[in-house]
Amino acid sequence: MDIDSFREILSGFIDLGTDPLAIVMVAIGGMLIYLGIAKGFEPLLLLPIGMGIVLVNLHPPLMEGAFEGRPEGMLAWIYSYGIKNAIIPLLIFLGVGAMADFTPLLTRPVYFLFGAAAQIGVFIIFLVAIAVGFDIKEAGCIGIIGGSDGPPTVYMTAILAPQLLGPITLAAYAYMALVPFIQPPIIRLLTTKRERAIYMKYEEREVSKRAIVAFPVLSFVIAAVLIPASAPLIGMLMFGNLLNVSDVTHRLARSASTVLIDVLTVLLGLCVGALMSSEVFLRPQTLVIVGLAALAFAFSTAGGLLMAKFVNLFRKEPINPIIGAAGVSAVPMASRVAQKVGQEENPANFLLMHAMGPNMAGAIATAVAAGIFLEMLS
Amino acid sequence: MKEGLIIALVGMGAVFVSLTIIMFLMIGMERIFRKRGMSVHESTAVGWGVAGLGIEREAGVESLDAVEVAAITLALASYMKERGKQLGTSVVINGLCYQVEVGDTTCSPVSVVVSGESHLACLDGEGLPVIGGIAPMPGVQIRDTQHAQVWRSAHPLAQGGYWDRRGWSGRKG
Repeated sequence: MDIDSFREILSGFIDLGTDPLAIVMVAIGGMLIYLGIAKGFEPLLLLPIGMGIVLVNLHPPLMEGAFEGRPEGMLAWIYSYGIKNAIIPLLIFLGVGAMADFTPLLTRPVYFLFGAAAQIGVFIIFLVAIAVGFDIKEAGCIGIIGGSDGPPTVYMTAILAPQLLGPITLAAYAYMALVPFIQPPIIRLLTTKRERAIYMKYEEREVSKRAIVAFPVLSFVIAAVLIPASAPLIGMLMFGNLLNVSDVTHRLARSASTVLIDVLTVLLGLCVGALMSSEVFLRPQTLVIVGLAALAFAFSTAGGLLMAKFVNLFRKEPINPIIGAAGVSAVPMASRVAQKVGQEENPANFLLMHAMGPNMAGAIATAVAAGIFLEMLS
Repeated sequence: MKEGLIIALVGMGAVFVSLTIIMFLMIGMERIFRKRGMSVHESTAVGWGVAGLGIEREAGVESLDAVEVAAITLALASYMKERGKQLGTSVVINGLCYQVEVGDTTCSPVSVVVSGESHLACLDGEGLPVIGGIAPMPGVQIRDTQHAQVWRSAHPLAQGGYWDRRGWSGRKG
């Protein structure tokens, strides 16, 4: 064995020495894997993302040719055909739709308003991002993080600002995992103890089966007519839901909500992680995105919550404003937070099912907001 | 920045408009389906019946099909008639209240109306057999006159009907 062959074998170590920032990225990847496994923060996503970061920073050829349109590495192929043309996020949304239950929303349609109001953070941060110097397309992608819904964020960013796909996706999913820490202080800040203790009786209201089946079809038609660019997102979400509620495609619904979404989540996570090479990720811009994403979450939470307080002005039977905070999608994390905070003030309260309504409305509203950005910025 | 402001305002407005349209559409659609489904489905109980009757509906109980309700109603009507009583205008099954109306059980077919939806039932092309219990029983004091009987015959005596152990039968051959 000559010295060149020996050097070839040790090329990994030698490359690491030439790019110390790659070691930092490997450490970040390792930290995400740790958070996923040890702390249970969105493990389904943080684990593949962390692994993707480690892989691409230890072995960059995995992403070779991804951005030049002639993929060679394995992850470059997945990126080119799955993420760049936004197929994977759309199919993930199909799986989300198959898992979704819109019945809590349909029993009290007023919850649609909470989901809409919770998008305020998206548009505020969009303006803030422009103000701090981001390009208008990038600003839209940063703003949509406030909707706290993964697939629309990835879909929109892949189309409008693919260069920011890594940091934006990471910020979106990381903050979704941090909802239990971000939301409670905002809820406490904007509500009184008495408001948080408002008792909401849970009555099982039935919704006619026809309405449940018609809902995905009608929602899609309305969204497609009003905001054509939202049609792929809403279409996939509602198609998945239709598979579930139609009662004739159980097999398809089961596959979409389990096997399909799992496979795609692995591919998405690995690719997103693979986009985070040191030269892309370790920039001041990434820190700004992370900061703006936190603000977007906070504003969105406040928007839903304040809308619930506003609706209470017109209702005889008041709504606990905490459930308005679940208007950010982050399903079902935001609903769990509403349940927990509500029970802290009034142990008799059981807000989980109430909060699922705004939660699902938030998922639809975020997809609509993404469609609006795509319509106006493309 | 100006362009961004316009996009933000239009965007927020569009989100609200879209979701409000969906909201009102779903409210309207649910009302329509509810009215149509009054005959058998969920709405019958939730709106008025159960609360008024003080019956707690069990979670997860499914409403019955109209034909099932008709069958149960007919059975209850026959049972009541056997005891010289008439069924009221509503029955409660599994906590769900249904508006019902039963026609003459001795006629063939018997008409059973469940929340406005009519069903016809017959047994071998004849009215339901009336069991002996419906006949005036010894020891039972009949108030006022014989006319107080609550049952009627499809073929009264004057029209050739006759009484045997099974109750009123058809005309004598």
